[in-house]
Amino acid sequence: MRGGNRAPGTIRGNSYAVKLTKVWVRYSGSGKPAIKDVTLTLPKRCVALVTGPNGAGKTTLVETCLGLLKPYRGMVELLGVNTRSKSIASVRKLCSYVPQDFMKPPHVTYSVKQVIAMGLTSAKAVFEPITESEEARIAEVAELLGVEDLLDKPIGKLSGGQQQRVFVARALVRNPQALFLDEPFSSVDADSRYRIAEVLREYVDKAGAFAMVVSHDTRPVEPISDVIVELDNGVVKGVREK
Amino acid sequence: MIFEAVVSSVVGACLCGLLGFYVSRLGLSTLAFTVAHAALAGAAVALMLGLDMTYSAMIFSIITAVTLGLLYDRLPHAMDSVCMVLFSFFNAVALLAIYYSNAVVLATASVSAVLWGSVLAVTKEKLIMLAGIAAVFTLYLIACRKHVDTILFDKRVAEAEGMNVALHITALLVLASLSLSMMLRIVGGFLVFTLLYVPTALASSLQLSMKGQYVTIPAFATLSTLAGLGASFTLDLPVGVSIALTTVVTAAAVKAVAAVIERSRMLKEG
Repeated sequence: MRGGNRAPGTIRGNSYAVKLTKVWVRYSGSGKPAIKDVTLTLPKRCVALVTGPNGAGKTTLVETCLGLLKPYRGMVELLGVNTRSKSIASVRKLCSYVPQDFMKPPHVTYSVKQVIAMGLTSAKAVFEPITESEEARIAEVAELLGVEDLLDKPIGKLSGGQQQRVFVARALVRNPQALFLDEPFSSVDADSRYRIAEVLREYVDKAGAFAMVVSHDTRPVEPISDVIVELDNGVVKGVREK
Repeated sequence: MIFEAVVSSVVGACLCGLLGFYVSRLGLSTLAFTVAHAALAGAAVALMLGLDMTYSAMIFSIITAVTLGLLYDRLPHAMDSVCMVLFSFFNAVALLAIYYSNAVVLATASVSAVLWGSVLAVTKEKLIMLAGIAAVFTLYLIACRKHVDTILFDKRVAEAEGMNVALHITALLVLASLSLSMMLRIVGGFLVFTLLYVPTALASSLQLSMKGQYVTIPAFATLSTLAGLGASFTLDLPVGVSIALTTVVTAAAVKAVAAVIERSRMLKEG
C-alpha cells in the first residue's frame, strides 16, 4: 500500500481518465437516486477496482462514467470530455465496455472472430474492410484470452466463461484508452480469473490506459489494482490507493 | 390490377417482415407500433382533406420516426411512455379525422383503405415506389452490414463503443414508416402492424438461427399473404383482414406443428 486510506474521491495524478463531481444519477420512473453525490477522480495508467454489495450502484457508476447514463446533478468527464457533450460519442470510440449481462442465446450465430472484429466497427466507415494488421490483432487478443481455437465457433453455442473471455478480447482488440468491465469474472473459472486480471494489468501498463473493473470477487483484481473504490447504497464509502 | 395487388402485397409483406426482424431484435416494437399509428393518422387526415393518403401517411410517419430517433438518444429510458402518449394521440387524430370526413365516405373504397385495406388502392406508381423502398433497404443493409450486425449483437455495447446507434435506429424506423405507409393502402391502418410483427415473432419463437430467421420470415410472409389474398378473392372479404387473419392463423399452425415435432423428438430422446 502506497497511499493508504484517503478521503473519498481524492487520487493522485494530473492526467485523469474519469472525473465525477458531485454526481447524482437516478433511473427513469424511480425517485430514489442510484448514486448520490459521488465525487471521484481516477487517473490514467491505473486499474480501479469498484466493489460493494448488491445494489450499491456499481453498474450505474460504470454506465455513468461512459455517459450511457446522464447525471441529473453534477458533472462527469471521460478522458477530459463532459459526458453531456456531443463529442462524447467520439470519446467512447477510445473506450471499451464489457457488460454484466453478456450471455448470448444459442440462436445467436455470429462467429467468435466476427464478435471480436465487431470491436473495430465503430472506427470503420461503410464498406471499409478489416486490415491485415487488424486481423493480426484479432489473433493476438484471441490467443491472450485463450479463445484462439474458438474463432470459427458460433458465440451462442459457447459456455458462459468462454463467451465472457470473447467479450474481454473484443474490448482489448480496440486498443482502448479506457476499459470498463462490469463483473468480468462472473462466469470464468478461477485460473482464468487470474489470467484475465494479468492480461488487463499488462495492457494498462503497456498502453498507458485506464481500467475500471467492477467485481464482487475482489481476489483476482485486488493484486493488480492501483485503486479500490468501495460503494455502498449509491455512496462512495472509501477510496484506497495502493 | 390483380397483378399489381399480388406483387405489391408479397413485396410489401416481405419488406415489412424483414424490417420487423430488425425492429424486434433491437427492441423497437413499441416505437414501430407508434410509427404505424402515425401513418394511420396521416392517412385519415388525408381522407378528411381529400389528399393522397399514402403521401400523407408517409409524412406523418417519417416525422414521427425521426422524432423518436432523436428522442431515443436523449430519453432512452422514457421511450415507452413517449410512445404510449403518441400512440393515443395518433389514434385520437385518426378517429377524429374519420369522424369529420363525409359520413357517406365510410362506405367508400377510400375509407376502407384506411380501416381494413383495399386492393383497389394499388397502382403501378405505388408498386414502383414499394420496389424502390425495398431497394433502398437492401442497399442500406449491404453498405452498413457490419454496423447493423454490431448493434444487433449488443446495442448497449455498440453504444458504449461510440457507435451512432440512434442514427441506425432512425434509419430503420424511417424505412419501416415508408413500408408501413405503402402497405397501409392494402392491409389497412389497424392491421398493418401484423406484417411487421407476426412473421418475426414466429421465426423467433421457433428458435431458428439468425440466418434461418432471415429465410423463414420472407417465405412465411409470402405464403401467408398469398393465402390472404386468395381468401379475400374467394370469400369476398376485405383484403387487409384476410391477410392479417391468414398470417396469424398460419403462424399459430406452424408454431403448433413445430411444438408437436419438438415434443415427439424429446420423447424419442427420453
